[in-house]
Formats: sequence, structure tokens, C-alpha cells
Amino acid sequence: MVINVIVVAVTLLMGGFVGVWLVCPRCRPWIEAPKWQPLAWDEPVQRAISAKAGAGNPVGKTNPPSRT
Amino acid sequence: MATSQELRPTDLRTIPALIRWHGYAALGCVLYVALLGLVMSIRLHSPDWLGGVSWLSWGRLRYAHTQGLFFGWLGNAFLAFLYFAVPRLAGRPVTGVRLGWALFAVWNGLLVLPGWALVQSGVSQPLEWAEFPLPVDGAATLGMLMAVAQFVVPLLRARVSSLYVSAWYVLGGLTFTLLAYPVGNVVPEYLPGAQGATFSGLWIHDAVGLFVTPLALAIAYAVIPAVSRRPIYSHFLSMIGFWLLFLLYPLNGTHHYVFSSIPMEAQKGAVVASVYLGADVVLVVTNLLLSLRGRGGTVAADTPLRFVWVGVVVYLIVSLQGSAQAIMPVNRFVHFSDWVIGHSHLAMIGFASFIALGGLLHAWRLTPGCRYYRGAAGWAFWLLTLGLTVMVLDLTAAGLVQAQLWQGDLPWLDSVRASAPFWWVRSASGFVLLAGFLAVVAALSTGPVVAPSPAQVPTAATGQQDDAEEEVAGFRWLKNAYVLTAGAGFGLFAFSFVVLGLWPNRTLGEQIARTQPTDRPARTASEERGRQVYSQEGCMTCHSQLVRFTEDDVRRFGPASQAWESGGDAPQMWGTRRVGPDLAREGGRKSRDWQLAHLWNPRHVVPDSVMPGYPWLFDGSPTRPGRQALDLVNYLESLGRDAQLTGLSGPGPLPGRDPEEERRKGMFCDCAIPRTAGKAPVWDTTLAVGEGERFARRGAEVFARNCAGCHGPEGRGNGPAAVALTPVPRNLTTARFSDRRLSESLWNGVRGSSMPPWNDLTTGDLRGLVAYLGTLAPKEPPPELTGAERAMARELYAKQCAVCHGPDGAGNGPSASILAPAPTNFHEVRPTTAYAEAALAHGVRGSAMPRWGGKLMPDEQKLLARYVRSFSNEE
Repeated sequence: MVINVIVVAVTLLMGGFVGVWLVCPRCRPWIEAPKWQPLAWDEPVQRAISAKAGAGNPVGKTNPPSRT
Repeated sequence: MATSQELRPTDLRTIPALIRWHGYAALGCVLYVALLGLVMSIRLHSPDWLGGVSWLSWGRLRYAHTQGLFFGWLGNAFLAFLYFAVPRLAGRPVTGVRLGWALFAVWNGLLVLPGWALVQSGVSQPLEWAEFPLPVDGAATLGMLMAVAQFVVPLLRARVSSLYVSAWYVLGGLTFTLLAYPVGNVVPEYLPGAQGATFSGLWIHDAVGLFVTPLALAIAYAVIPAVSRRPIYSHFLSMIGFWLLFLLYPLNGTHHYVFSSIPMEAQKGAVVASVYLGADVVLVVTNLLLSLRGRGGTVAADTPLRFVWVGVVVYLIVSLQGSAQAIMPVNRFVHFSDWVIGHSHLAMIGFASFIALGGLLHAWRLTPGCRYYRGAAGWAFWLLTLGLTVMVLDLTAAGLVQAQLWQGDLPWLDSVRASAPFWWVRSASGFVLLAGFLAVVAALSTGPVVAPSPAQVPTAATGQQDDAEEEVAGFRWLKNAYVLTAGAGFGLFAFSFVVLGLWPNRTLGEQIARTQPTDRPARTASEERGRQVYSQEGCMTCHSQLVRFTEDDVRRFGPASQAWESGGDAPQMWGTRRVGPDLAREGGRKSRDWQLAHLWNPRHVVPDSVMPGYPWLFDGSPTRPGRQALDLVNYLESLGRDAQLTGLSGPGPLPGRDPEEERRKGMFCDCAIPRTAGKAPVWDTTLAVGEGERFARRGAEVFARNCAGCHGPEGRGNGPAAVALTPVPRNLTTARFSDRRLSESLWNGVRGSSMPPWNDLTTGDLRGLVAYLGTLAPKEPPPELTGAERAMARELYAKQCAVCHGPDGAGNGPSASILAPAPTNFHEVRPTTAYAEAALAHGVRGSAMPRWGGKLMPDEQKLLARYVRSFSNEE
């Protein structure tokens, strides 16, 4: 019984996600859009670091540049 | 929709301070935790190092190690990162600055530090991942409640359509943990035995799966795109991963007690959920690694991202390993061994700590006022990677060796001896790990200071999401984050609570009511106090009290533990690791003196033992046990008593049963297992000269490893434990023993003395011992008695000795059956003349043999000594 409950719950959950994705194209950006958010965090800092580190290695080779 | 303008300048000043303070607290804690781990590791191969100091007792350090890792290191590191990430995820500041400082004070001042102080001073709770005692549980719950108010509330005000996956994990993880922690920590305090184990099993896995994992994944999902400047591969896949994780992780808990008395249906459910979870982790990790396609150079160059990348890869490995070891054929082999310790270190260091370090380093280098030294961070990465790799490979190999040895009939101690080289390597890897964490401290406390930057303004929302939300206005009821919190936090918690907690408990309750014997004797007050001592010293971290329903367990320890047996244990003491043997049936196996000598210094009675001594339970000497030592021994003596009284386990097979059949099916029937006693095989030592010498040499080695602690290195009964034992260990040089007598004593032990059974030694070892012991006493010719002497001696003997030793010296006189140790059977034991005379003159301490000096004339004593020596027909 426990196994059946788990299998049914997993199946419903997976099926629900795939079903919504397939039958409701309008929902897709609603589900997918948040993935762009992290690119907006600390954007100016990232740009400054990228400029110093080079385009191929946008972040992290050095400390953030001093602004004082 | 929140905007960046809602952040006040004071928030921007204060949040970095909280990041720094939690970060420094995390670093302090991880150094202490790593040091504790190193000390414990060293003491496994050098058990007397730092011995004798109660607050450095191995079990107490283990409590401090795991709880310190959980709350002190990971808890503080996660909180530091949340102060960095939540304003960005929510687009608004955390709830309050004062709340932040209060949370810091509660987390460290009321939770971590008092928790450490209490468990190291002996106040603890014997539940895995819940070792801090109940008052500290209150502080932990308060801290979690404050964390929810600080971090979840800002996110709750956001709309689901603008929530990035990291925010989902923060919401789900903090809410779920707030609910699961009290259940896992408090319920088993009041629900005993197997019933409590269902809930403590849930928490063991929830601690890792619903606190550590979600917050680590929140970091991974945040750092990877932020550093690689590329979005994650698929937010859709990340959502599936999130929901499956919150559905499946809490259903895994019972896989820690596979083959126990918890209903098999719940066990199998947990196994199925574990396998599903492995598949889910494949999905999550694939999504994360696909996000780094074409960014190999960034991963290689950026240390925080490299930490996260390794953490993600290890997450895949450790999860697939976890799924595999939950499956019954694997579980029956590796459970209780160092394999599992390797698994937990891989999870807690390789996955959780690496990702936490990546998140902390990333937040640190972007946080004004923090110092960040990139070179030291790089050193930290390589040192930690090296240390972790060596430790995990070493522990995994050690686990396989231990598991293999436990499969057979070899003595338990063989697995301890075989583990020693692995434990040395483990300690070496521990030094490397400690050096790695010191490098982390250097990376975060030296180097240039990060300057304040007006650019660090959190943004969470974009017009894109607003548009998207407009398009699906029909799903208004889904739009707010509280729906998500209710589902993943409350809903799935309730689901697991019912499916793996309440449901199996109902079955267990019925089963216990049906099977438990009536009128079970309750534990005495002393035994209850002993249980507290057992708990405070963390004995269950090395000794299980759970004979599993596996053939190997049953063959070694006796019939499997029934649910009703631990019905008096709240919280339960099942344990999940065996360095030493299972103790569920310990009562009656060793004498009280043996137990006390063993507690004072285990190596006095078991020379190769790695168990720590507990001298603080004594008043300066093994012969002066304190109340706690006596209570603990009383408790140990009570273990398995109920099973013996009900005939579940006992000294021999039930009448009319086939012993072999019982041994094979023992785990499924209520029957006795002929493991610990019975008719002894006799190891005949009438061997060819060369072969006899070979066996004697082998016996000498076995004697030195197992017997010298009591009998002394030369068998003179003067080993280090002898002073604590009554009767004193036999001086084996004062008598010659028949093969039968030696075999009997080795197989069954000697009743009324501290000599335990040694029937777990191999046949070769036992035969070797018999051969060696036969060489210890000098060969003296049999006495010659004239007819008159014999007649006089016979009369004396019949008058003074026969009542115990029997009319013909066979040790079967009318009083013999009530004497322990039993009177000497002179047909099997021929004392030397000197010893026989001394025993007659002075008696034998600890036995019923009285002093005959002063009652018999010296000549009579000498005559009797010669007479009893004449019974034996040994040449």
C-alpha cells in the first residue's frame, strides 16, 4: 500500500508537470522565465569584473575592483 | 512588485555585517568540528590518547561533531548566504535587522555553544542528528522560527511567477525543517522503541534532505548562473526536481532501519522512494551541469564556482550511492560499517560543505567590508578535495572489509583489527581536511577588503515575468508563494508524517500488543540510571541494540529483535553503526566484574579493543566502581533479559528442534539459537610433534591477543584486569588440564567467573589455544601413594572434600550444582603439588573452596594434595 501511494504520487506529480507544459503553452514562460533573474543580480559588479578578467572568463579571477 | 528602491541604505550596511558575523561563526565552528573529527579518528587507532577526560569521551565528541557540523558550520554558512541571496531573490530586504542580530544570538548563543557545552558535559539525547538535549531543541526551534520570519516572509510576498528556483528551495527547506525538527527530536522522547524509531528515522533523513540539501541546492542554483553569466539550462526541469525532492526525501527515512521490526511495508516504501530519489537527483544534476556547457574555463578559473561544481558532481555520486545502499541486498551487507561513514562524509563534506563554501566565498567577495584572498581559496579547494577523496575511498574500502568479515563466523574483534590500517589513513586524510579548512579561514580573513559598491542592489523581478503572469491570470490561486510554501513545506511534511510515521505506528502498536509478554519486569531505578549513562556517553554511536532480520545477524547475535523488546526505551537506542558488537542480548554474557574491568580500561580484558575507557565512573580504581559504573553494568545486564525470560533467546535450542534448521530460519521464528552455549566440541591435541608445535605457536599468538589481559602474558593469572576480577583469573601454570576441560571452558566460558565464552574463535585458533595451554604447566609425575596412605587419604577426602568434589573427585558432589564456579573435577584438572597444597592451606579466593589451614594438620593437607592429584590419569 505504501509503495502504491508513493508510485501514484510520483506519477501524478511528473504527469502534472509534463501535462501542463504540453497543454498550456501560455504557462511555459511563467514556469521558465525566472531563470533569467540571476543574470540581473550584481550586474554592474559583474560587468566590472568581466572587463578586468576578459570576456572569456566573465567573473571571479580577481576581487571586485575597489570603488573608493 | 518589489523594487530595489525598497532597500534602505541601512539595510545595505547591516546585511553585510550579518553575512560577516555568520560567516566567521561558521568558520570557527567548522574548525572545531574538523578538530573533533580528527581527535575521534585518531582515537580509533590510539584509543588511550586523551583517555580519562570525561568531556573528551569518544561518544560525547561524536555528538558534538555531528551537531556542530549541522548547526554550527552548515547552519551559519547557510544563514550567511541567505542574507546575501534572499534580498536578491525576493527583491526586498529581509524582515529586520534587529531580528537578524537576535537570530544570530539565538543560533550561536543559545543553540550551538550551549549544545556543545551540554553534550560534552554529558547531557544529551541519544538520537542521531538530534543529539542536543531537549532544552537546546527549544532554542533550535526558536532559531528556525526566526529564520522563517527573516527569510521566508520576504519571499512569501513575492509571486510564484517571479520566484527563481533558489527561492523555492529556501521556502520549502526552512518551512519543512521548522516542522520536522520538533517531530524528530521530541516525539521519540515519548514514543518508545520501534514506534519512536519510525519518527527518528524520518528526522535523520529530513535533516540532510530537507535542510542541508535544499539550502545547498539554493546556493548551487544561484551561484552557477551568477558566475557563469548564463541562465540555468531549464527552470522547468528545476521545478520538477524541486517537487520530486520534497515529495521523496522525507519518505526515505525508514531506510536507516531496513531489516528491523518496523513494518516491512514501510521499509520497502522507503527503499522505493530512495530509488526514485536517485532518479530525481540525476535530473537535478543534469540540469545544473548542462547550465555550464561551454563554461569549463570559468569553472576551472573561478574557485567558488569550482567548489559548487564539485559539490554538484558529488551530489550525484552520493545520491546514487544512497539509493544503492538502501536496496536490501546491498543494505544487509554494508549497513553498520564504515561504508556508511564514508557515505555520510561524502554527503556532508563533498556535497553540502563544498557547495556551502562556494556560496560563502562567492557572497564574501561581493560583500563590502569582507576580506577575500583568492590564492588561499584555491589552496583550500585542492586540500579539501584531496582530503575528502582519500577519506571517502578509505572508509568505503574499510566498510567493505568489515562487512565481509561480519558475514562469516569470525570473532567480532577481527573486523576491528582489520580496520586499523584504514583508520590510520583516515586520520591522515583528516589532517589534510583540517588544513583545507584553515586555508578557507585564510581566504576569508586575509587579502584585500571588498569595497562598498552602489551596484549591489538586489533585483528580483523583471517586466518579462509580469507579462508572463498576465497571460496565466486564470491560475490566480497559484500566484502567491504561500501556495508553494503550503505545498512543499506543510503538505509534503504531513504526507511523510502519515505514510512513514503514523501509518507504520498503527501497525506496530497492534503488533506489540499482540506479541509482547504479559507481566514484563520493569527496569529497576539503577538500570534506568544506567541507561542514562549509556546515553550520555554515546555508547550507541558504536554499539547497536538491534539484531536485524538477516541471517548473519541472527547467526552472530541470536534471534532478531522484536518490536516489543525495546518498548521500554524512550528514546530508542537502536543505533546505526557498529564499531563494537550489538548489545541487544548482552545481559548474562559477561560477568559483572568483567564488565567493570572493561569499563575501567577495555584493553585490560580485550587487549585489541579500541573502546575508550571510562575511569571517571570509578573512584580511582577498577575495584572501586562509582554509582554510575554500577548503574551502567546493571543496565547492560538487563539487555535481552526479557527475551530470555520469554524463551526468545536462551542458552540452547528448544527441545525437539533441529539446531541447524533453527540457525537457518532463526530470524523468522520465535526460537532459541544455539549460538552462545551448548555441548562443546573437543579439540584433541594428540598431534604429530611438528604439528603440535605449530598449533602451540598459533595458540600463543591467540592467547596474547585475547587472553593475556586477564591471565597475564605468561598465563600466571596476573594480567592488568586481574585485580578487578573475583575469582581471580586462573593461573594456568599451576595445573594441567585435559583437552576436554579446556575445550569446554573455551566454548562455554566458566560459570561463576569472568571467563567468557570464546566460541566465536575459529576452530584452528581454539585448537591452537588448547595446544598452547597444555604447555604452560610443568609436567610432574603422578603421585605414588602406599596402600595405607591411600586409605587414610580416602577417608579424609570423603569426610572433608567429597560433598563438593564428589566421591571420586569428578567435581559432582551433592553441593556442586549450587556452587559457581563449580568445584574442580580432578579427572580433568591436575594441579601441581605446590598449588594443591597452597589451595588447601589458604583456600581459593572467589570460590567456595575454604581455607583448610588450621583445620587439617600440615601432613594431612599434603596427603590430600597428593591424593587429589592421583585422580587424573594424565601422563
